[in-house]
Amino acid sequence: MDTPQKAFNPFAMAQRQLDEAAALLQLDPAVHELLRWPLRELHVTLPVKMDDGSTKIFHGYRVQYNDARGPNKGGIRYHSAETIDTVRALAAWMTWKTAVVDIPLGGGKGGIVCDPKTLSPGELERLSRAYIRQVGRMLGLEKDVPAPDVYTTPQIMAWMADEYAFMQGYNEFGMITGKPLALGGSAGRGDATARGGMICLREAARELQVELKGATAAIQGYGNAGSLAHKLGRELFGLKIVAVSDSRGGIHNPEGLDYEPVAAHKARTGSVIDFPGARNITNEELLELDVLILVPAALENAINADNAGQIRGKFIVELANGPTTPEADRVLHEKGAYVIPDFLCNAGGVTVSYFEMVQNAYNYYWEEEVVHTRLDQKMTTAFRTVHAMAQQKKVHNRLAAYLVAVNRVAEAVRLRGWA
Amino acid sequence: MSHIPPESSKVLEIYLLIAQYPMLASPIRRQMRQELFRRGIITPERFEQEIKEHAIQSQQREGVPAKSEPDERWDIRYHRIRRTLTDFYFAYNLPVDLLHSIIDNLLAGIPNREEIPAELTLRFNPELAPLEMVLRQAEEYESLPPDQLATVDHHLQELRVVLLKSLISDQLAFIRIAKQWFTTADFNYVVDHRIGTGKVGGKAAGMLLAYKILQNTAPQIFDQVVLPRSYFVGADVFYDFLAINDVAFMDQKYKPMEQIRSEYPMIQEQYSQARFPEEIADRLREILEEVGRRPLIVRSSSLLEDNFGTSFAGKYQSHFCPNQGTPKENLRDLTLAIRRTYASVYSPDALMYRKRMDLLDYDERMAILLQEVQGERHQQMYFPTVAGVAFSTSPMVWNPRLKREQGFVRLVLGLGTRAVERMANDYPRMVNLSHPQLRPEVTRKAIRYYSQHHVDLLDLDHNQMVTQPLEAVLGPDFAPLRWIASVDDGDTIRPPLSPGLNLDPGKLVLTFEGLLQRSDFVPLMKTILSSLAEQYQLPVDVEFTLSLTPADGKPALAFHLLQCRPQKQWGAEGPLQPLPTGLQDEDRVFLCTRMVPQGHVSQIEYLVYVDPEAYFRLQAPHDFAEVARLVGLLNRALEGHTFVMLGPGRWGSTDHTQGVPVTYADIFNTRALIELASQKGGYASEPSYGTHFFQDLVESQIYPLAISLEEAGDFLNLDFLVQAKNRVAEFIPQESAARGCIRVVHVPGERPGWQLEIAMDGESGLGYLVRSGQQP
Repeated sequence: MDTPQKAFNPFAMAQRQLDEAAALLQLDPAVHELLRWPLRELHVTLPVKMDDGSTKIFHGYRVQYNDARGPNKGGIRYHSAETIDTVRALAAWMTWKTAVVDIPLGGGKGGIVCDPKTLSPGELERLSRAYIRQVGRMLGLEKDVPAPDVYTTPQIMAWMADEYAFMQGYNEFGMITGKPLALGGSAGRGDATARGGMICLREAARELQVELKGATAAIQGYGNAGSLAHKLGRELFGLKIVAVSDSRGGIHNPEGLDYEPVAAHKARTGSVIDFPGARNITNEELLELDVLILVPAALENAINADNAGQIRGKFIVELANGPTTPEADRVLHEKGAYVIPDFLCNAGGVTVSYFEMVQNAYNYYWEEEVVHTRLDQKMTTAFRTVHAMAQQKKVHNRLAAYLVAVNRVAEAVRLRGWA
Repeated sequence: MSHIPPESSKVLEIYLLIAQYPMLASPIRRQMRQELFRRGIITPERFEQEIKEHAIQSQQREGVPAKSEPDERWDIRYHRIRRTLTDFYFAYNLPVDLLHSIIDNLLAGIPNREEIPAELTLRFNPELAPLEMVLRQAEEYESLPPDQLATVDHHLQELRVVLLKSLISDQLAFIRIAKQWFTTADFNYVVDHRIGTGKVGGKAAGMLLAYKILQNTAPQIFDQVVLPRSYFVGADVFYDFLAINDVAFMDQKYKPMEQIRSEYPMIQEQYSQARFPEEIADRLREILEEVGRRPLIVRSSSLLEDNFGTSFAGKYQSHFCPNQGTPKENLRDLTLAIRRTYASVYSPDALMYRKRMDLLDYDERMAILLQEVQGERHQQMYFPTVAGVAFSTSPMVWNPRLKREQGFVRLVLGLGTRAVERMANDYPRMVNLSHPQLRPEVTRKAIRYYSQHHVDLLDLDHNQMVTQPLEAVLGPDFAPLRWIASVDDGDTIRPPLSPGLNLDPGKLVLTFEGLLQRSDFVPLMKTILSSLAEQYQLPVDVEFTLSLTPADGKPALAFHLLQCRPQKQWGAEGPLQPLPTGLQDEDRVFLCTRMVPQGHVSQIEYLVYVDPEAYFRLQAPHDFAEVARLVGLLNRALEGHTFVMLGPGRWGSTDHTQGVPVTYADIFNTRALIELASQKGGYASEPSYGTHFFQDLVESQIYPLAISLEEAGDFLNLDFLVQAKNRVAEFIPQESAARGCIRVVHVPGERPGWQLEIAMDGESGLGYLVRSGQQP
């Protein structure tokens, strides 16, 4: 059976997004061309001794997209369909994300082509160590700092930090983040993404002079970010969360849903649906509820050309990656909805990763409250800069965020005399 | 012309010579064998083994599937080969003159030197003799010195077969294996532990046979195998019970199913009020005194149960008796449990199953296996540390590295009910014994979610079986903790290094990692399964509990054997069916050959097909999510119908370029989830085999399959799918790009009078069309 060749290339898409921002910025052509490409990439081949005594060869990558503003930062993915173009695209997005929250880091990404479901814990450990033995030469607190991503865990980060320590002859925990707390991890990492998003929401409400206490909200997605947004939304602002959902469907109660009983119900049954006292609704119905705040925290493309017209939320808090399609973005902008774009809204995670590096460098660890305070400062400043750019250039927030980010990287490139 | 060795002509000579004495042929050959054995040319055991091997080879030559040959035909085959092999061995090793003298002596009435002395001859017909007499005679033979024993071996075998038939089981397939292993000591054990008369039934038979096989074939692990203290209420007691209470509903099984269903509560009520025969009640009272306050389980062990090919799994009832009341209360509870198990002979489930398996006319009788519950006391709770069900051939694999033939285990903490049955939102640990650490889940959250959260146990204070949340059972004071649990510290799932220190029970996850990695459990289990499967000459499944005693570095394990039977199919009834052959090309819908489970899906009405070409042609990213949503709508719309789903790449991937991004909620009514894999553009590099929600598929009995379009042997009948009328609009009226990818085929509408079946034998999975009510 013949099938058409798939046209989608994630890296080509990342380049197109940059081109759009570059045009608006009237970016210097040489800087623009430099930013369209990764500065460095390493392709590695990894022999791993398997449990049955055989040796299997794996392939991996590390892409350092741009480190003009500081060491590269970005996760390591274990994925059977990993390609260099996916890694390049994700490394580019990390470059803009660190720039938009103004942390002194560049962007990178890595990956190993493997199916972790077919590897025993021992094989996974040997594979992870083999990767560091090959890629370690371009890693380091001052060079490039990986983190967990698809199918990589704090345990894998710990193995990698250990392997690197033996290569160097001394501990350098700051060469990787997302480590377990007992091995140089940072307090406050667990809810960093949700907390960052909530801080953005607070600032947006302040700009638009909207009272959050008692304001209605609906959250699509009840994973880490979505469930903690439920918790923090109530704790920090007293939001009335009237609906939440997960992959099996959603629940709605106009009187509001408390966090603890819903989370306990989800832990017990695997889903939020059938929560006592609430009405079951579909994910589609949730998106179209008459609420002030809509938090897409699950799927890509949840808000699309088909449903954007029915969205009634005033604030769209994008905790998920890519929840809004470009067509929907335009519809929401025209309706006057206020979108907090994903790579600003969910940048709390990378910001606390940066704090982890800082703490490792000092070998002095902050209390959780300190992490929260500093995260608040970073996110508030980042939000205000993006908002101001949107006002000034009369563009929607996503493009404004790109303008801020690309301009920052371009400035560093120019100052360093690269173009 | 090919050269014929001289021995071949000797074989012929011997054959022709014996052919002249048709009525003496059997005794002649018996004496020929005795000569072969006496001279050490071959041992009787080796000889029998060789016959068996030749018989199996001949089955293959003749195209007879090994497991399907009726016993009578197998016996004919066996005896014919025995004759040929006797001639063969004699011709190659002994002179023809010796055969002449054997024949001459027989004709002259002179006994062979190894003939039986007169005092050892069996002088009664064991089939008609009282049990006690048969047993004593068998004991007498067994006590003979080896040289004399050899001369009466055939008598002894006959006696053992009679004892097996009257005490344990008259199923020929069972006897064929069991007669090699049971001795009078075993029959005496059964007699001593039997209550009333009659056979002990299928479940008890399987347990006893497995124990004997392990005793004889696996001496290296046998000291770890424990047979629980057991009593057998004979099957005849069931008749006595019916007679004295006038509660026989013999014709119940022939009534319409609706009537069976509506009358069952009345039967249950009558049985719960019925009296127990006095002598049986007395014996039960004695047994309760013997076991003291140890908890008991009343298990059904009917004559049909655990028969080779009909498992009756879950059709008859078992009941726990915590046994913590006064003696009077304990006896009442025990007899009530037996009465309830008796009543389950008339349950709609059991009768429906018998009807489907064509067993309705059999005179089913219920024996009872009464056992001490294997376990330990922990506070007021009583339960086994580990319970499980093991399969010698893994009915499923989720990863190409797993070796099906090394076996598969489902493990739980507490009573084994949770390992045997399927629970919503609660999952046993699934272990493939070839790679115990390769599980379907990878992430911390998935491992935790797909684990056991509740424990079935006996509450001794309240004298009842209860279900408790895990954290109420596990804590630092639970001694075997480090072997069964891991700690979820929010970052990783790791072994409990210092369980005594600040251990939060809420962070414990049942993984059994310690048991699997740092104990002898895996080799023990492999030895047990392979020994049993080898002797059964069939895959088997085994129920067990495990006790762990801390010892130097790793725990000492005791394996309590509860049940063994020929392996039942995963998610289907009846024995494993061979794949049909001789189908017309147009009747074959698909064939897949990698990581295929074992099972069968019958009478598939609808086929939901996501066309890969159309799917990968979609442009807008949200269209892919829309396809998943529409699949979910079809899943709901087709509820109550039998249907299967076919689609490109990895079902359930969150990355839409890898496959349709459905969740379990979108597919849970399908009976099979079929992935189309291709090396060409657009597809995922590897099918997922359902691993995005594998445990959910297992618990819901949904078969994951993958058709690799370029794999030699794999096949998809695209013409059938695309030429069939697409009925998607009947379920999803709204036209859209996403709907354009989906075809819904109504099989009986396409081929009136035909149905779609999927047969899976563990090697291949074949989807095929067949006329209703027919097999090809």
